[in-house]
Amino acid sequence: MAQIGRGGGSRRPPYGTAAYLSRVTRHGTVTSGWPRPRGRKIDAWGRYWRDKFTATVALIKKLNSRERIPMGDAIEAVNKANRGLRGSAAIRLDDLDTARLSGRLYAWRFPDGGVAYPAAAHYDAARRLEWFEPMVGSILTRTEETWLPAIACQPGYLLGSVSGSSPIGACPPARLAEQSEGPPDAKVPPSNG
Amino acid sequence: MDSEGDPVYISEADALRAMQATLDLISTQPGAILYRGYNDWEAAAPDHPGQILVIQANGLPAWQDP
Repeated sequence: MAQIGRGGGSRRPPYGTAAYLSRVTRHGTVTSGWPRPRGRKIDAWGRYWRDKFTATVALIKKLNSRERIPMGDAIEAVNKANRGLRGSAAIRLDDLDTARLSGRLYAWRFPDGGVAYPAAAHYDAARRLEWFEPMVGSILTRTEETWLPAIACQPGYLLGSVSGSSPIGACPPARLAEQSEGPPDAKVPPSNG
Repeated sequence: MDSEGDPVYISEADALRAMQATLDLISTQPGAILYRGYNDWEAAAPDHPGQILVIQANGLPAWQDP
């Protein structure tokens, strides 16, 4: 019998040959050794996060697809898949307007500190902010109650926070304050109600 | 769920409410700011308490020590 490879008769034939996959025994033809394990080894912790990430990506693709699924079920599924992810952005059920418009996660954070931003979701958020205030240098601030409209100041101005739900205050530079009584071009954001 | 590509028409009040909810997804912490850079919107937070927000010469805000 011709030998395959360099080994003796007791060694297994090389992978990729028919002799490797099947051998004839007294019980018949036995097929073994397939599929061959490939890829780098991964520990249980890495497999846990890889599977969670894969499940989240699959859910996002499902949300972005044309498939019609109940939005409430989709949100519950995404939140369930993301539960335990530190800093993950969960979609709340009472934000159905937001979910109806986009239906995507905005960011989620991994244990090693990395943050992933789905490109489409980032585009959605940026597009809405563009509708809100497209000027370079405009600032949106978050008070204790809500986000306030944008404020744009001239270079050299200082912005100070005010307690409560009041908007931030814009203070002119000291040299401008000495020249005039009030800020010449300070734009104070309108109150939010 | 509306299929992708179909326009969704909402009222201005609903649009504002959706905008607030979108921003709350980013942060609900009082004092957080978002500013419009030259290419995109960016978030900024102070490195440590006590810093003030100064408008730089290029018109963009930056946190600085007083």
